[in-house]
Amino acid sequence: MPLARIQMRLPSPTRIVILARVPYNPPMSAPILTTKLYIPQSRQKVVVRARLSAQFNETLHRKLTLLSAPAGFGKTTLLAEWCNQQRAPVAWLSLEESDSPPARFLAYLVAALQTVAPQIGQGILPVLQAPQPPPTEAILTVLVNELAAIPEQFILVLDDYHLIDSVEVDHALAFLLAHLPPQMHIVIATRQDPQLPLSQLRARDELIELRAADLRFTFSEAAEFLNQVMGLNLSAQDIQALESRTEGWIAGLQLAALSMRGQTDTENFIQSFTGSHRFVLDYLLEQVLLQQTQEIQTFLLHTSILERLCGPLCDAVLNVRDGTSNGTLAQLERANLFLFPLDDERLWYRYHHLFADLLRQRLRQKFADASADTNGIAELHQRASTWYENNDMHIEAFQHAAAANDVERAARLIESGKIPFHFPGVVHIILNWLDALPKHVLDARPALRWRSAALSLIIGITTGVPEKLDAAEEGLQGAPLTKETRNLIGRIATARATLALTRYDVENILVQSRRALEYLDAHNLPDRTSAYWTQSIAYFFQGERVAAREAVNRAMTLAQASGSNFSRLLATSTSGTLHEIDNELDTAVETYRRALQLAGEPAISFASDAHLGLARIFYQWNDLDAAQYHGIKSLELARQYDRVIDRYIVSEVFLARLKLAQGDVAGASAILMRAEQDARAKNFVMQMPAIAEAQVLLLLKQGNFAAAAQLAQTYKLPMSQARVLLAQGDASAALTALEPLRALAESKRWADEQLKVMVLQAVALYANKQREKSIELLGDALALAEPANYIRLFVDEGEPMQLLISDFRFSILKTLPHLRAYLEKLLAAFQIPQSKSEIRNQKLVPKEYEGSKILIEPLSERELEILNLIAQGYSNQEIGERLFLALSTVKGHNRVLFDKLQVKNRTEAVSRARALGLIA
Amino acid sequence: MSTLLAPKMDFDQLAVYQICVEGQLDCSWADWFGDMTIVPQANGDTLLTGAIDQAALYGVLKRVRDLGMTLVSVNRVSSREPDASEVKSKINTIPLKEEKK
Repeated sequence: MPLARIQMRLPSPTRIVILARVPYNPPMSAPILTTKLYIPQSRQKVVVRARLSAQFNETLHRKLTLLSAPAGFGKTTLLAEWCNQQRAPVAWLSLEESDSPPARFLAYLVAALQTVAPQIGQGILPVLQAPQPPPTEAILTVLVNELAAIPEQFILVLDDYHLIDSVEVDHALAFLLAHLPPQMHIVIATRQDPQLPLSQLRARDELIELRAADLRFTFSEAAEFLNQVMGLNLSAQDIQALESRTEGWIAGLQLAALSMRGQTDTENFIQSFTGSHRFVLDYLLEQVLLQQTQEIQTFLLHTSILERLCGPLCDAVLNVRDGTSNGTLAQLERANLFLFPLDDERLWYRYHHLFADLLRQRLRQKFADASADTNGIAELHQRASTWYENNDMHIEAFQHAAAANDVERAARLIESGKIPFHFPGVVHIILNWLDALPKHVLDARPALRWRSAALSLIIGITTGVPEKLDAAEEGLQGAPLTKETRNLIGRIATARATLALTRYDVENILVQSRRALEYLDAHNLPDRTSAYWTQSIAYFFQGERVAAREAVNRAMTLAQASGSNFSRLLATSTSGTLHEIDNELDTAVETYRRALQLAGEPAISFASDAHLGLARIFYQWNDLDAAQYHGIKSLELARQYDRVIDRYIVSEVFLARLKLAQGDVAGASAILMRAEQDARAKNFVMQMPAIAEAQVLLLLKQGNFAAAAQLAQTYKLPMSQARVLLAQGDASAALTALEPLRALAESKRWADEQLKVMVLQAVALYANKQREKSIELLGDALALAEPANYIRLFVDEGEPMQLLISDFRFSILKTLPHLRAYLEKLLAAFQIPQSKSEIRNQKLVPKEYEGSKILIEPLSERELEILNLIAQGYSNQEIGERLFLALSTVKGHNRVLFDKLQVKNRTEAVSRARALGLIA
Repeated sequence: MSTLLAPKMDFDQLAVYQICVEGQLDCSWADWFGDMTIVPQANGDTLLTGAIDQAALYGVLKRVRDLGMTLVSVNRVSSREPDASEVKSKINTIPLKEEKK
């Protein structure tokens, strides 16, 4: 094999993570709006609706209570009133349109549940802030298990559910309902029926429904409302007339009452109202506004642009400095003018959604009429934006700037570094705005083009990114080279390096990351971290391991300084791989475990690589069950990546090789066939050599030498070619094939490659009757492999290696006496079935180890699983989290486990299990 | 009428829709309903008419929902993109859908 070809081959391409990413800002405290979790507390009298309360009280015997009725039927008021009377704790969540992304919905769901049980979901909130969080069901599974541990009955209220426009959230809720712990009850208030299996719930009597027909005011309720609550003094006939005109619609009755307040001639009002065909609200709002002073009218109209109101914010929007708005808000609440308090201190309020919609409509009309003041509404938004910015609420500041169409301001806010991009949904809000900007606006602002590209990459979208970056670069042409433009050039290069990474374009990664590091501002830690990280992977691709190590160390240091868990996870994971390929398996395991801690539980998809690293090492250590556990984990996580990312094939190939080691040739064959078909269909050319390498092993096992030879030849795999030649009995040709590879591995200091070649060379030399050379080489290989405790490296060579070691053990021990224990371990490994599943298949026939008794009762699958995790040093708590078991359940299993093993504690259990050969 | 046409996938096609809601609205509500033409009917209902695609249609229905208005009917009166004069003439010739109960 010509040397040039070998050099072209990327070392261990199977180990490389390819991800679309850019650095993502350090986590700040998540901006959970607590006002959304507040149960509105009315200071006013309300109509006591005993007939509904009775139905409502059935809630605690059902899974779901559904309040489904159009706007203005008093859903929120009724619900709040009922909740305030409950003895059971209530978790309340007022939903908004922006809560539709599942991660954001879940973040608020957890925050709401924490008001009932503060411990709930503490592990979940951090993983929701990852650019591509784990699947919703995995998160909900953890959540449901935690909820099940709450000892008392509790209620979850989701108000304004109709604002959620997301099939995923509907599915999440359906999943939650299907697995609802018995002490939990859900109440949903909505303007339209949610996409939940309602008929099924009805059939099982798990649903209570209150609909418009139930909610509308009856005559007596209307009477109580108008005369007691609203303080009018109307005759039965008047009440009857109002009730029939509004059809018991509460918003209508309330507006009617407000219009009549202070009017002496209520009869006249009722007559013209009932005589009018106009839409009830349109008619009444006009009447209500007419009843108010000019100041209040302006206040209502101008503040209607706000989602939430507080005194100082209203002052700012109205451009008054006298601080009167606080008083106005209190006055409006007392007057029943559709204002809900959002906290106990009455700092924040919101308008009834319907009322706010009506006010906004009037506001638009007002400014449309006054043609001189066309910018009126934009100006209100600008004032709101300024106030929010001054008060450190940057997402809201951005949203109002966007509503004002103030591009300068919005762009400045995006680049201020104060918008928490990691908070679920925020990226989508900003990306939607950026994508909707007209071309000429973007042309003048290359930084916005770059930002749009970078945000796309954060959420794993590469489509359209190159175009955005090209346009950004174009926009920079001719611009003076200031500090800012230099940094922007660096950022564009960082994004290009990330893109190149998704395409395995090594040259380009290096060019772009070098350019990035040259131009990026020294204080721009997130982008510099990313540039070093992509650089380290490019060097790794090239086999330049010293350079790769240096770059990843820099990335680690910067990630640490930037405080971003996510950046640390990626750098740590890559660092683990670099230890692994240097045969530093203990350090690698430690590093991978640190990466997993950073990945949280349930782990985000980026943890896939650390799991696969652990799987490979446990495989080498001949702990095939642990290897399988981590291998499957890595596959599950890798499948969550974007469909264009080929990462999961790497995990599949690993699992196929594991199956071969477990003696399941058919299973290995099936996995490889599927992987190959997939890789071909999706054009994952980079994965083809690794698949072929595993297929060669399979074909050799099946005795199909010709096919194996062809495959090895097609993909230019020298190790595989040597194996085929050996199998065909041509040891000398095998040695010739291996020689250049060995020289290359040594000159490049590829420790793992070198060791692999040496092992195969030793076998080939032995087969070639070069006894002395074979002994020497095997001794060298063993000395290199012993510190890392490699087992499968030798065992996988099968019978020839077994003969080799047993033949030479005494000559080797003469020069290397410290290898005695290692050699014995290796020889034992050749003989015993390695997999616990094999032991299980044999109905647990225990080995007669000296001094150990026979296991009386076999362990269950679950107990073996737990035993393995104990042996790996996981605490009971961690085991519970991993296996989705309650702590008490884990402890229960432990007790049975200890009994069966006849031991008293975890340490004894592990050593006894080792002695019995139950675990490695 | 459109019911006689074979069903086809025309999500992106503009079509003239008429949405009838209970209660009378004046034309100041046009922009609320995405610039639909607003025509009060003699029976006290209101007809919203406009050439819109499917997505815009659902947007208008959502606006109807958010005002708490009662929806009486939704009809497609033309499946092609009409010109302005056609819309006008159609509106004027459309008979009232149903009498109020």
